[in-house]
Amino acid sequence: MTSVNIFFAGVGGQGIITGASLLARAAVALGMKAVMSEVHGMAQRGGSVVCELRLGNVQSPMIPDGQASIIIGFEPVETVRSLRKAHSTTVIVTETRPIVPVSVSLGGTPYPEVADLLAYLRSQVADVYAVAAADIAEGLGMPQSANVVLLGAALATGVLPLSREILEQTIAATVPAKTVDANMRALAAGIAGSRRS
Amino acid sequence: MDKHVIVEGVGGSRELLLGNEAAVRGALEAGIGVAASYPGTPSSEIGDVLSTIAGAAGVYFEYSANEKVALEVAAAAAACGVRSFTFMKHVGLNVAADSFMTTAYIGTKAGFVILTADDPSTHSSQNEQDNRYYARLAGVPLVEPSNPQEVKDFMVASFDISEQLGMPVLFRTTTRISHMRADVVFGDRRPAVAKGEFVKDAKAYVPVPANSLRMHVQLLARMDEARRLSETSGLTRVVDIGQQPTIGIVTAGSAFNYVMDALEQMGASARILKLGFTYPLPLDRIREFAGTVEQLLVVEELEPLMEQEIKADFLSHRIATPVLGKEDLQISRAHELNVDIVTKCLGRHFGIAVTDAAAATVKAWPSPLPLRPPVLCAGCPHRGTYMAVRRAIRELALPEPIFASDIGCYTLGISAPFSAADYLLSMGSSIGIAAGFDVAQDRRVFAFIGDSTFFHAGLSPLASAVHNKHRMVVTILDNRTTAMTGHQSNPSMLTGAAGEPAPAISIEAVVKAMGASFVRTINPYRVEDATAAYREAIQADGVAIIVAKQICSLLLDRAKRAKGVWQTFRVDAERCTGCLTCIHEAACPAMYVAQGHAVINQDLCDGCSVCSQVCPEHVIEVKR
Repeated sequence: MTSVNIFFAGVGGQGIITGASLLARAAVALGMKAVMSEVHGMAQRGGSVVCELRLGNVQSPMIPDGQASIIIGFEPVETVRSLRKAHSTTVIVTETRPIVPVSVSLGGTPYPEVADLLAYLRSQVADVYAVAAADIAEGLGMPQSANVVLLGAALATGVLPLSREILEQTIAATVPAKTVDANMRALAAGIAGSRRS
Repeated sequence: MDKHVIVEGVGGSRELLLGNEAAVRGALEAGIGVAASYPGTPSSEIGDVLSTIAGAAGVYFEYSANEKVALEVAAAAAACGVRSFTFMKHVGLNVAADSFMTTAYIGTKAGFVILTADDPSTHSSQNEQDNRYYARLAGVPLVEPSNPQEVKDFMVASFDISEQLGMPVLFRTTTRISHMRADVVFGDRRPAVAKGEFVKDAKAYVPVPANSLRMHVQLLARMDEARRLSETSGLTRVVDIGQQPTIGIVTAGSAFNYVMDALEQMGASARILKLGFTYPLPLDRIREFAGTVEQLLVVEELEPLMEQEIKADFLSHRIATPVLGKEDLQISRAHELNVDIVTKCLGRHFGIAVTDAAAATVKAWPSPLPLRPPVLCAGCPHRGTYMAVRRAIRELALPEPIFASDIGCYTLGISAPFSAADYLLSMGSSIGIAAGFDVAQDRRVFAFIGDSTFFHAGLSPLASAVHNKHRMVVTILDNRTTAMTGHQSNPSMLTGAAGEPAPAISIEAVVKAMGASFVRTINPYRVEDATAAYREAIQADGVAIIVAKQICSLLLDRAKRAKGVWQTFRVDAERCTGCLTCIHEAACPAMYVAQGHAVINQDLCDGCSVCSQVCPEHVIEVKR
């Protein structure tokens, strides 16, 4: 199948749908066919959330197991949880800052060391880009733009069939006017901060 | 995206729309004048869009108190000659079912479409009932789209079908269609007509026995006509995949998407009869289709409805083409389908080995990962309510009570440490359930119900509980909105669907009028006061009501951000003894344990302060 399959994983409230929608809009602006599956409702309340985006000639918005072209993980455990969507050549971009679920504090399964999670990702796929997106966003004074930092990091991997220009145009046309500059800086910081690790 | 695009977009323009947004565009293109709903995932975004744009579109829209009222509003408007639309989640149609069944008898003057958004795999629901049964139960035509473009196009067609037949049309989506986003090409809008005229005709509109006997016969005749429309409907089409296909597949809705992707993945050939007008089934057309292939597969999500009817029809028409369905292809009747499942089931039948790409190369994390189920948000006022309930029970050394829960964010009180959901059936069920527990066992009984849910289906059970002298503590968790579905209005609020001023109904006044023995309003952010109120309520006789009033923290946070006032709390690590009372009592997602101490995640803390109120060492303080 010739589609580019983009899998987003994270925690409800991290701006995942917004980020995925930006990529979908940019793709459509380039004349591509985009189908996307979103999660709304109960699962948003701090639970694990995924969003799936497929660019190309497919009907279903849900990515079959093992067929993600890229996984954009907004939280390390959630990135690892989404490995069922990966094959050995899937590119993984992941945030490094954990959000420890309440279940851990109440005596549930402990939260693994982030270093171990990243090492495991590297042992499974060839390309892992670990990005401190929340730190970068805070450094820019806009903690809520971590999602756009991650989009920048994903763009820099070269897996997305999108140019920086089209993504910038899409952001400018989509986000509230007063946040356009901030989002542009977040995108640039994500592109600059994207390193294979 | 500015939602007004859905009104203002001209014919021929394109927009990336959610299935639910496409439903609104379709209804506008059909020229609806009236729409009514009660929010419920996965249909909620339809109302979110309509509430924003109804004024601009010249459409009347309301959030009714429940789905039954919404359906009645739409039915009566349609009887006035106004095209009308109501939409709800699948279980909402159960609430509306009493009136829904009769609308099939009475029929409609103007186009009347009832959208049901089913939720296979229960992403946000208590069951995965297949509402295609409702079309058969009531006797109404059923239309099922597969993607946002079809949602829009089929919606327009459904209004035409409804008018042509003089009966309501059931329009069924599923979560994966409602929440699928894709490009939609707009058509032209027919002007909205929001006022018509009602021509009295009791014989046509009042189903007393003399009339209903005749109406039933008329309904059957209309369904015969619906079958004829289905046979030639443009919503149904044949899609040929690959060279000289010998296998035919009958499918619809989401399953069509999975079949298409599965065939592509396998490189297999098949002839697909993709149904859009799915009830009555176009059986002549299906027989004719079967004549062009060697065998017929039926791929459908949930129940084998199409399969059973096709098998029965082929038997009575002595059609030799084998029909294979759920059992033959090993497609489960439980849970939603996906490309992986359909590829596996079809691959087995086609004799094509399907390799699992992931299993081949990538292995899952070798041990269990920490679970992350949905939880009460940081700052959620329900947390303080449940903490107070637990504290009062402990302080009174009350034997573990029974907790009847209801549908809303507060159902998340099921989780530890609150463990405050023992039995749940449906919207508004908590109070009736509590009555049953009060009668049939001796422990104290609690009911929890939200403000919106109380007005949806909690009023009659409360009247019943008071009148029948039951003893229970009912908490009405009044967070001043319908939170779980995305903050829609409800009758306890000062604003209506579009944010316009509306008369608010006082919950306290209602429960007092109904004869509650004890009524107390608490602020759940004040744990000690709230606990004291629960101690009294537990000792009261009759139906004791606690109204836990505090606006949803998501809305409060929005207001605080807009004003630039925000405080967070921190734990003084020097003085923290590591008793973890805060985490064990509050279970707040903003808190975690590091080096034996409680730590507050400053990104997530909402400043509600309840953790600081239960810290025995008083070391949780406002961060300076």
